[in-house]
Amino acid sequence: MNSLRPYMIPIGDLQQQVHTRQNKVNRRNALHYCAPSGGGWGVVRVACLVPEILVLFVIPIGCGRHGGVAALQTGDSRMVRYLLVEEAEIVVGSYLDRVEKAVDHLIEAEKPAGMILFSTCMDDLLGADFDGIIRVASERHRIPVVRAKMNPIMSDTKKPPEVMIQHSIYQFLKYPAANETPEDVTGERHINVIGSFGQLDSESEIHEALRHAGGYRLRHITECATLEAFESMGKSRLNLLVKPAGAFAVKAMAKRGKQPFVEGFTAFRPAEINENYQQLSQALALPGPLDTTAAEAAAWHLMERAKPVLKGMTAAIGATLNARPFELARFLTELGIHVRYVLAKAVHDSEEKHVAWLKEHAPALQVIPDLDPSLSAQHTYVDQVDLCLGLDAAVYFEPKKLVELPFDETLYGYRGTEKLITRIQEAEPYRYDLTQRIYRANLVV
Amino acid sequence: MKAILKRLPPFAPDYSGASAVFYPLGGAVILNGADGCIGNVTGYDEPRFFNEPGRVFSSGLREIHAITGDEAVLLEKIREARLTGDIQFILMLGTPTSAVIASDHQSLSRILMDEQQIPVIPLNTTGMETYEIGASKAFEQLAVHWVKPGKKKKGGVNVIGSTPLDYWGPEQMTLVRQALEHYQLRINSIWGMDGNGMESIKATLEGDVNLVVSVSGLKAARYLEKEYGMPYVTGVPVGKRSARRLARKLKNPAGHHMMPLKASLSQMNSPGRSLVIGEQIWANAFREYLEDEGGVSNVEVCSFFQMDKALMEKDDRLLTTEDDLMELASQNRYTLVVGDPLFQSFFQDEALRFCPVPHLAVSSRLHWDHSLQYTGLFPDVLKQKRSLLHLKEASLKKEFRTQESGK
Repeated sequence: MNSLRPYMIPIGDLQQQVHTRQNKVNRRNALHYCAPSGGGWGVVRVACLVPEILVLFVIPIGCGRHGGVAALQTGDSRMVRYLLVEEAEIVVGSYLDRVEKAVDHLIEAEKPAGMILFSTCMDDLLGADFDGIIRVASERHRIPVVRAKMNPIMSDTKKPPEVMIQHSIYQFLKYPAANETPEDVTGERHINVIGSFGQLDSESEIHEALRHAGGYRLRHITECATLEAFESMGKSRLNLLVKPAGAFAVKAMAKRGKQPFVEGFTAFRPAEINENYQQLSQALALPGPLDTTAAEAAAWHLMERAKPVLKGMTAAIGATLNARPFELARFLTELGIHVRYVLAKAVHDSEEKHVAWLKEHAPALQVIPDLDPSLSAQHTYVDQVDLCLGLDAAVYFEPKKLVELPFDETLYGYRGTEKLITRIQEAEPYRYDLTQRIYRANLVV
Repeated sequence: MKAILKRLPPFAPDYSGASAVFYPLGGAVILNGADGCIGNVTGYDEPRFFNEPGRVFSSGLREIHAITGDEAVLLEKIREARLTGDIQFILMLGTPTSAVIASDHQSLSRILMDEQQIPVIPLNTTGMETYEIGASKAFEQLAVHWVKPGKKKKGGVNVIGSTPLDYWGPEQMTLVRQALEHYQLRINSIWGMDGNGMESIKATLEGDVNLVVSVSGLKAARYLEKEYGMPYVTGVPVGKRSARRLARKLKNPAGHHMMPLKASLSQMNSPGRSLVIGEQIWANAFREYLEDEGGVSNVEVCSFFQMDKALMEKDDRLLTTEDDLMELASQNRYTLVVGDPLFQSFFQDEALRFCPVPHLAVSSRLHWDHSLQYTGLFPDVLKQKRSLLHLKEASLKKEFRTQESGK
């Protein structure tokens, strides 16, 4: 604990180490240190993306605090209600009666178009029958009621809360009847963007390229003003999975609604962006590639111009950022930046090739488990770097510049590459204003 | 609180209260639960974490270990963390998950204590009760295990019960200190808030009297009275007259500790009624200040948190649900209400004056960066303009009105 340096894994050893723990970077035998610079949107905020519904949490008081306060900051509190359960009624199991009554009361009093009912770790362990309550409520009130879980106890499984909440919200979708094609129903060619918390950056070339390719339009949950509009996303032609957290959801949608999906994770490397567009083109059965030539050329041009300026800069990448850390590390390395540290939770399957590349081309890179207890002993900065990407990186490394890449926006395509380079180049000197930035980010562990 | 929260967030839980007591004392805090619980403490209930990150850890409890009851995993994690060196103790706190599986923190602590050669304190928090209950258990632990006789008497006052989850940051405690020193009282220690860590607790018996500034400190003070005959007084100096009266009691504490401060005044027949919503001991002190220096009478106190019956006046009330506050607001015509800014939306009467006083256990970091003086000789709660705070009450009020009208 007195070590001045946190626990680090050399990039060369990373794959071997995480292989034994389902690609998680944090050690199995380590306590977790969760600084307020960590976390993300949290399940409350994601659930509140669904329009016109109420979100009811059934929780002990200790489980809802952070999400509840963050919801007041974001304005989502108008949709969120809490049913607090107490120890005595948990012991005898009587709280489930109150859940049923609370659901009825809220639906009758507030007349939402739908409801999400949240349970917690505790209910997983007790095997509480929420599905029965949901079925009854849905039939009784004739509105969709969906179950969701805030259960970090499942974090190391294939069904962690950040993945399953995406699955829960898309359960509201209504799919076309067997004899209908998507176009029969909507009259438009829609592609759903899944996994991100916002629509793809409006300046991304993808919008124009899809429009030119046959009038396709991207839809995102945040653009749906009504539950009915959101439900109709089930009639879109394709799901474009842009963040790994949406993977379970798109697979379930493919199974339930026969809605196909294509993986096109946000990326900054032109080669990967190109692959994304090729896959998208194939999935839509387009006669040729999407026309992104001009955007691609502009990105390459900016990269070449930036390389002499960026070459030799040092960088640290945090886990609190809206990007896949190893893809980002590779992109920066290819630009000539020395990425010294990456704080990471896990190595996603799509990033294994990047880890392998970094092992060869950036062998000095150190990976730090983002929750490692050794981080608690850092009373001074571990190192100075020219650039930090992600809020939590600036807690441990003293940067000259900090670029956040917040969860609220989704940079996409070649234009995203350009924007990132521009932000790095134009970032103001770091003002040591991390606390205010953390408040603004509304992060929830 | 058995009903549904529609406007308020869940309040700070018991493990946050316990953590807040031990946070500045030089140890490590381990919450036995999944990682969400620690997020409450470090991000939302412990403002000190932002400037002085402490050693607060989650056990990272996972389903497989919970189902199989595998507590050896937790022991191994604690051993691996090597919590030694300048770490003086380990505090183990329970969360809803560990409460459901009945984790045996007592046994784990005994094993660890043998191995680690430092005190390991198990506190049976559950995450199902509010912060003051956990804080109370924690202060009591300090009184039982860390206060030792044998120190030479120096005299003076020990302040017990202050944590940031009530109103007590370093600035407020400086005001308390200044107010008491103004009346020639020596401060012997301020548990957890005078920068001396565990030494403050150990020095307790060097003082003459304990000043309990929150309900959370009552159990500890009662224990010290019973065990060592050390008297205590409840109260907070708010305003000059109140501070003078409190100082007199501290100089001659016999029989004063549980006496309501000014029972007679609230019986006065005054045209308006006022309400202070908050932690009981501060709220009582503020009532006294309002009556002394604010020209206000008929002041009631209510709280969502534990209230000591002996400190309650006739119309004081413990609130158990949001509906209780709604009922209080709709069935009474108050002219002045003092309370956390999140309570403001419950009071729609335009003629009413609402003085926001952030209570961290309620509104968390929404309002913890304020410069209000709750205490001391010259409190400025009544003088504040709304712009003094980073308040969003106007927008919240609008939001709730919209919500109400939409029903």
